[in-house]
Amino acid sequence: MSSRVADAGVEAPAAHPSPSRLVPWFAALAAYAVPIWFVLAPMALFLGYSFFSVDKGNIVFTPTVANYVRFFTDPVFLPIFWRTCLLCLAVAVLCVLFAFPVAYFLTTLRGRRRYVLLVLLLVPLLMSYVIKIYAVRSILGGNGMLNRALLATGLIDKPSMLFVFNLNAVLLTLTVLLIPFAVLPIFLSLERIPKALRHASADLGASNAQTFWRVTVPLSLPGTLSAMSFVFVLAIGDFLTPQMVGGQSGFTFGRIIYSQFGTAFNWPFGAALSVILAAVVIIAIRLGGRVESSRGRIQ
Amino acid sequence: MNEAGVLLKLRSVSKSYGATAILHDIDLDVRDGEFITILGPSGSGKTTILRLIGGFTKPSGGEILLDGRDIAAMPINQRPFNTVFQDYALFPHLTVEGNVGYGLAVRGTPRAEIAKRVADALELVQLGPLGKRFPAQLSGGQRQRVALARAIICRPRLILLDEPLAALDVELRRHMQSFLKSIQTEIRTTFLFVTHDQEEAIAMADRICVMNGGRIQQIGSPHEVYYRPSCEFVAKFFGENNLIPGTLGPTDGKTRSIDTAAGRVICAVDGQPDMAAAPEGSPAFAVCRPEAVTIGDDAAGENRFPVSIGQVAFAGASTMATATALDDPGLSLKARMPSRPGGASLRPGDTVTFVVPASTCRLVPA
Amino acid sequence: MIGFKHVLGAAALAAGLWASSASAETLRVLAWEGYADPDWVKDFTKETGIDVDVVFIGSDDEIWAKIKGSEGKDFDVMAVNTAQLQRYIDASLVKPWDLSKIPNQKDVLPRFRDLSAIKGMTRDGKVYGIPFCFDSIGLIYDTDKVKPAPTSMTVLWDPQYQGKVLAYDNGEHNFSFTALTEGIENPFHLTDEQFAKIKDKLVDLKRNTLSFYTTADEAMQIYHNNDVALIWANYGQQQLKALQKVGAHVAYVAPEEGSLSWLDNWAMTSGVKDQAAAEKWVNFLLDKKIGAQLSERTGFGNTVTASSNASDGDKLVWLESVEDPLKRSDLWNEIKAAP
Repeated sequence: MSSRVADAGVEAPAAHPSPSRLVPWFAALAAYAVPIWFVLAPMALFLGYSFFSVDKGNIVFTPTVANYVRFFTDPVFLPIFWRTCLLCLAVAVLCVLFAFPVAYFLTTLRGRRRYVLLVLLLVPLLMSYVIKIYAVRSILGGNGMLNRALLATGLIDKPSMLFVFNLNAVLLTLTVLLIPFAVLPIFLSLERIPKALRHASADLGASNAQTFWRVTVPLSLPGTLSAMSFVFVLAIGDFLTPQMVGGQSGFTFGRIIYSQFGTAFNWPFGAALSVILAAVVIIAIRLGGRVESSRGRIQ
Repeated sequence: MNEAGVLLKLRSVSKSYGATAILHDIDLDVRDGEFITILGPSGSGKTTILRLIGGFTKPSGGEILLDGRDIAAMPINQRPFNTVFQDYALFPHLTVEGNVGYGLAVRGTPRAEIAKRVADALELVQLGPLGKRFPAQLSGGQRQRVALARAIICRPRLILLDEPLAALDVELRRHMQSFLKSIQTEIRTTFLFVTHDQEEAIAMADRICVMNGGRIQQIGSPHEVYYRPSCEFVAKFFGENNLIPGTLGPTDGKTRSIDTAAGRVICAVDGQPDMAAAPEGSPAFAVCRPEAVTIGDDAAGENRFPVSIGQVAFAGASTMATATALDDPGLSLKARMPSRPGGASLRPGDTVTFVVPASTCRLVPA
Repeated sequence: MIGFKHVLGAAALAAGLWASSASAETLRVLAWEGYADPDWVKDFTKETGIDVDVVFIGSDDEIWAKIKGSEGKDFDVMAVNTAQLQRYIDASLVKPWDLSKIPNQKDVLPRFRDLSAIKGMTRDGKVYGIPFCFDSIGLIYDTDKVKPAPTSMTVLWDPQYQGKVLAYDNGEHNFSFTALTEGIENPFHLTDEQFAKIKDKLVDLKRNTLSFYTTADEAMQIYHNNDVALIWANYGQQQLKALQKVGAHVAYVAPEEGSLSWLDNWAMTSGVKDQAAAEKWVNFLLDKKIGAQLSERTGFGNTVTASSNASDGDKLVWLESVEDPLKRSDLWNEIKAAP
């Protein structure tokens, strides 16, 4: 088929190569150009910039590792960096703890209801991120819904500021916002477990609880871990939530990077910090994917 | 084989999904220690019977009695049965040892005992050195043995096997058939084996239960269902067969005649009270196996059909001759004879006589 | 290929039309929204016969990019604030005004008459900016919770308001206003010792703070959902009025140590085509009626009529460019990272 088209091109009087010959080239170009132009090039740019410096508001294009030295020696950055990693790890664990039962419940539903509910769970992803943070903040606030509910039930006698403008608030808000991202991979991994394995487990005498812990949980581990790494990556890249609900203690690594670009105009240092963040993200994704790839071995 | 030897009884068991009936009125006794095969084409309901016994699905009617008690409501994990699933259903995240020991582990058996019994079971299925491997690292036949070891380790009273050999190639399947049979003899556990393959059923079973359309067609020894089919379906299900339509004639209790377009045929009816008692003139088939046919005027036998040979097909050990009856051009008859090194003496177009002794001829209702 | 030529042709045509519309009789103005309302432009054209082309901008950086990009040739006049103007003088992108051509400047409010007293407006005795619009960064307080009415930003450090303070997330301004509370003469050029002292003060402030906000809407939302007593009001009167509009019991204070205040000026580009037209434009806008309308419409202060943005006695400290923005930003990060 393709050779016939090419022949027709040769016979044609026009001197240009036949358009059908160029099509695969354009397709390949588009396929490579998009990721190169929009992903690799900006990242390479960041890497490059991270070796420059700034003097009186102007970028000095002389290569230096000063930015990295500064990150590892300055007493401000490393503690914030570790604190942020820990926070995001906690968010990832919480998200998975909440998402797992939800995903499990979804797999017990049949047919259409299961997918309708799944879509409903994913609807929040279509909403503006900032609006969602606003909403969560007004729920958690001193006069917010949570406090009013607690006051009404008499559990507390004055509004508690335990859940707003501190790290708890960042943890809670990120968890609430990112749970949908955890539900999906866990649901998919649960759905992939053949029903026959649960039958086999019961057939061999296992109770439902034994089947759950010995078969369902271990086999959903790849999805659970990729959900964790997914949430971790999204959380560590977030600079809005800490700013908006973290109050005076909501200072995270994302905020530092943001400030380098926003107010400080220190792009080289911001780029160096971004490169470090990207390295963490890549490590997290690799860790999340490890079990996924070793699944090939066990299945 | 008295009543005391019956392990499991199915009484008037039926199953339907909505308006679609899968099983009708199934009565089946599974005897203690036997190898019983449920045989039928796909959609005949054979797997449903296994699933009902295993507890994976609930019957719509009737009862399943174990030691005289109905177990229809008994949860899967409390039934003293274990299953070898069609695709093995091995746990991919556990090693061979983990898989085989699973049933013991969930019962809280001490580790040392598990290790010992797992080793024994693996020894029995000849997988001794592979205990640390994962299922993905095993061949199909090895996985099959793991599934078997996993099912027998808890010493169940009944092992259910759901077409376990379907995924294996022919040679391995043959090997596994005799292997399964020898294991069954060794551990003396009742096996209920589901398959669609007649040869497999005949090769392994003590008894065969032939299913079609959600109903049991015949239950009997392989020899019985092969040579003494009780209905047209069974007669046609086991390989090529000669079915000659006609109407029933008189009987003397041991034999009965049937009038066909190719003449009167005398058939044995011993052990077939239904056929012996059927009213004269009812439609029926005379059935005789091609290998029971002998060729030649001088052969002995009550039933003789002059035929014209149409085709002679060499099939290795045997040669099949297909012929048309001279008295009834609509009737095609087959004869199977041992092959000879010098080739068959018959040629297409030869006119010969097919001779069938009454003792090898049987009747089935039309 | 033909299609592409068409597009090029159309673009060239459009560019030509645009260029011709910006002819010598047309004044090209770069301004913030609210500084060149259509009715004023219409009246100006009627009065002077000069057409006006207005381009609105959204940030200081955008003005710089537009003016620097054309070396001042794309616009005749622009609005720019005191902290920014020196940068344009340094780059020779602006021209000094001839005050005799702007008679209305003589009748402005007293604090805007002596332009040499406003830092950043002049260089070598020449005036580069004509003040037009301003606002102070004061203190909004909840009148039910804060009694008596505060007079200084020092109230932000008062432990009785711990966790009820909303501060603004900006290192530059925070250093400046804290320097004012410490009585430092020039809050925009701090010495190392002053930096160290003010950094400690800001760490203390952080501990008294509920949260740092960035937008007026955000501050409003936090105020509604939490027990807030004091707001460092980066958005000045606008922010106060928005809160009052939804029924909050709040009032505004210009602190006695001085309010940081921004002041936007009209500057003339070095590429001005018709200097007279530019002078007429500025003189026209320094009119009492337009001044009143400006304050009424934007909530900002004007230079010709009194407004609620500043009483005569208020001490306004006009923003200047700071000694080292990077240093202030780094220190602010350290303050935020402090435990």
